[in-house]
Amino acid sequence: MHKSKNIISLIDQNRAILLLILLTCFSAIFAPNFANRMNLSTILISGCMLAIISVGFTLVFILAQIDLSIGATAQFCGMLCVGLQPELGWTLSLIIAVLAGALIGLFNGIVVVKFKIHSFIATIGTMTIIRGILHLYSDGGTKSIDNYSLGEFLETGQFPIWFIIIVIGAIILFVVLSRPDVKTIKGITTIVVPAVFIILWLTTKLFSPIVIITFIIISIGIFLVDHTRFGKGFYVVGGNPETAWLAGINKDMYIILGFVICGITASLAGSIFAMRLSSMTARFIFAQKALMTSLAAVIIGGTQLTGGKGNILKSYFGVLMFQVLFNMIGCFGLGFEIQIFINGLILAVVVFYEAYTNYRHELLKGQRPELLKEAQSIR
Amino acid sequence: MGKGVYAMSAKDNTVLVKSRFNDVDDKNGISKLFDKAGVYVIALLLIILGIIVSPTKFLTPDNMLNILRAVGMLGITACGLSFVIYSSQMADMSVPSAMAFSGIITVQFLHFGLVPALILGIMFGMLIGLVNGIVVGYFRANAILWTLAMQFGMEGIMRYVWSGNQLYPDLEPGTSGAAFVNIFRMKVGPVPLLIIVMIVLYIIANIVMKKTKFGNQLKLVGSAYDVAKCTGINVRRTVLYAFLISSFTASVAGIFITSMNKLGVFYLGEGYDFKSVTAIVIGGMALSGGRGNIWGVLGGVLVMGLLNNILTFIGIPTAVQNVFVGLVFIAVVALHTYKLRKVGKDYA
Repeated sequence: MHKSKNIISLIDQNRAILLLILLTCFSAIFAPNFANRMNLSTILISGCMLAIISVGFTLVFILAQIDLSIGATAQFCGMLCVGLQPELGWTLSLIIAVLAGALIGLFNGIVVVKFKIHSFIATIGTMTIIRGILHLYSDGGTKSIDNYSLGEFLETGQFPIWFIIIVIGAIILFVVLSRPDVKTIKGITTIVVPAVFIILWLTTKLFSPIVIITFIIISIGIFLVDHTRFGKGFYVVGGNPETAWLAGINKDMYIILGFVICGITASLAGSIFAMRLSSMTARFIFAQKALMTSLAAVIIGGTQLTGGKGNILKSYFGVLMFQVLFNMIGCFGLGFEIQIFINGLILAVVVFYEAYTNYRHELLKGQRPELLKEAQSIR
Repeated sequence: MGKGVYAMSAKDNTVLVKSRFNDVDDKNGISKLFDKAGVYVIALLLIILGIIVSPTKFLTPDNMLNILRAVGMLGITACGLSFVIYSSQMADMSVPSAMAFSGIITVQFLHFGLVPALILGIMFGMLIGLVNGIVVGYFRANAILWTLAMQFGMEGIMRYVWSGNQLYPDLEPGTSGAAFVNIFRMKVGPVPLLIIVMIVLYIIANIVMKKTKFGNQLKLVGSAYDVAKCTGINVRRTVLYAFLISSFTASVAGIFITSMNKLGVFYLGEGYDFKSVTAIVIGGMALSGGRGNIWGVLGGVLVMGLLNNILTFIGIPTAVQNVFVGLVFIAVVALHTYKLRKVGKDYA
């Protein structure tokens, strides 16, 4: 009995990647035109925006907060990036967009920490404000530019050789420094996964530059959260604020920083999306879909609202799972409406599942099954 | 801690506690008035501001009726949503979908006649509330997340089933479609039907909240969930009823908004969730639940209407008005939280 429980919890912990594999296999077998290089590359590209968003979003979740304004932030910063490009060029407009995102995050963080408003409520307010500013800035329409060179580079281009060497060098350095133990499964994966990645990158055209940029941002996030002392603080603050206080961790600073990072990643995601398409829409559904997909992806990735738990990599798998699902729906020739519906449905199922496990947990509170068994055997 | 450094006798302690509460209770007259009728004072100030901004046009009966008509639907949704917030469930984000859904269903079934269509519309709208109530009330899901998921899911269903199209009622005179479109435009004397429905709903809501057993139980559930559970109140069913009431008023508002636009479509209720929460919070109902009253909510709705009206008079576009509303919302919630923290409650 004990062993089966372990297996179930193992499945539950890795549900994002398992679902991703299952869905991919299913689509590869049944969906027409799914399993070819172009399509897989498209899936990776379309997942980029949400993947970058979910880095910061997971961080906020770990802190036991939530940021419902990410969709609007991404949209607004993307709009800013496109709108400023003709005068300032890409670099400067990207910097301004990211600064705007950081400012929005700072505002969120200060409202949550200093004014003590629950983050659900505060960020709904921020969302409305940003949407107002967005409509003011764009007159409710679409902004676009005629220069597609950057977008083409992001989708189909090649990085210069020095960049590739630096990235591969960094990966090898990281693997060597982490000194993987070859006898354990974890050690083997730390060696095999980067090797497969490098080979795929150099030999096939599966990874566009935008995907590589996404990977770099995700890696920075994972490194920051899982491998530094600073990053461990996020888990402590989210898991148990009192322990954090006793340990001398500045809880307020961490929460504000979490929101700032979330704002930065959201603005980066929006800007990169805008750069790829050279345009940005002001339609509400864009922000809404970004919010609900990343919300569902992060929760499917095993990150919990109660805080102290979360994994950026698993969130990425969750995002990829959704992209595969959407792509599959597209391959079957079904429309945008069904995507929205399935998205909402999955979010609902996940929220319900989390609530149900908590409910079961509440019911079993105070009972200790292993002791019960012992007591019965004595009798 | 700081005050209690000296050795305290029981008497000292009582004095200390008393003085602590005196901070909150014994204020001077103006402050007390502000506590009692805060929203209406703000409304009065806004009316004075409106007279200053536009002396000739603002205080006419026409404009006043316009303000009331503009906030009529908001008032109706806020009335029901305040039950959810009163039970400390923070928000019902599925209000827009309930509004749109009831409207679409009503238009869809208009060929059965007007009254059956209206009943069907309200029933289908309340279905959303039922599901919300079961999941949030019985399984203790996070209310905001679940209702958000419900909102997205329902929007997807409405987009899929009606393929994103707008649904027009038959406008031939004498048919039920014409009667349906007339609902919003109907007047009893000089007063539109919408306003009468709103005020009647508020009177009923006040009676339910203050005078009935359910209202008292709801107050206890909202202010202290565990205590209510231990008292033997069926907390789950109480929360379920709160969501049902919210979806009921949302459906009624949905029928009015559909009748106003003469078409049923999935995006009709957009924005009403946040606007009603703002109105409720301005009206002095705490997001932590169990505090505030229904007349305050009505005051909050009026303040929203006055604010929008005055901003329009000044010549500020709708987008900026949204920014204003958001800022006012955060400021008001922050103020509330500050006030409650002085009493010793952490989150508002």
